[in-house]
Amino acid sequence: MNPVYQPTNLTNSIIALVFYLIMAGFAIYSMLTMYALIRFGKSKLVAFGVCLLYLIISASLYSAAVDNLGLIKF
Amino acid sequence: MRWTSIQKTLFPGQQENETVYMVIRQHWFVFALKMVVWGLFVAILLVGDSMLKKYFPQISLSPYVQVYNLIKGVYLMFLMLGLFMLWVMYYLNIQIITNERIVDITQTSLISHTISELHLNRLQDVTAEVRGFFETFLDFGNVYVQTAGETTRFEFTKVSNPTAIEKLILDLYDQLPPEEKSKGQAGE
Repeated sequence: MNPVYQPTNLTNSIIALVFYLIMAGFAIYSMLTMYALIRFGKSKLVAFGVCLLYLIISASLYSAAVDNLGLIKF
Repeated sequence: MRWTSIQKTLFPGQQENETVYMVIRQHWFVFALKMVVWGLFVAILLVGDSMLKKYFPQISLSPYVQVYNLIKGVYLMFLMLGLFMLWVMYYLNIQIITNERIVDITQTSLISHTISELHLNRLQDVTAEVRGFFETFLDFGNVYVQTAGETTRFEFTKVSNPTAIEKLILDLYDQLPPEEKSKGQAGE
């Protein structure tokens, strides 16, 4: 498991802050979309299947982004 | 013409003896057009990636490459979110035709969900419209349902085979008992 990213200077701190703020917005919209699909979708099976697929893809991309964030050294 | 019914509960408020005849979404071409716009954003990523590496080779050096990869990763995440939202909005907007009423389920935004119903006995006029190049060749268009109530028109926009939908609605109206029809026209 990768250790939590710890910025070492102001530039890295600002980059990390901006990144996590953007991720917070992404998470909020993602949860809203999944909620709307599960609540109002005709088929619960389709809704959960699509949400699961989306979560897997998003988690992979997020993991890659966090790895890149950890490699940034100014 | 015989219509096949769908035997399952599809919307809140559906009665036990109510038969669903058709569930309608917008034509796939409408979703495909939105996908084309989404594809343009993907193209921006791909073209931008190749152009930047060609004209700014220093972007391949540390620490710029990590920042660049981070930006690309975040951009990709939002592309996936955009695709997900596009599909969900397409999937959740449906119209349902039953033997008693027409139900319009509209998801205007993620947190805005509207269900409108029109009882068939209040029907006055149904019009199917196919207008445009793609509409004509792919057979999709609009269906307008005129009612005897305050709402001027019930609209199905950009749906497949609008003439079949018009015919179904009129056939179902014809199958209503005469007392049902007169009750609807009297505004009860």
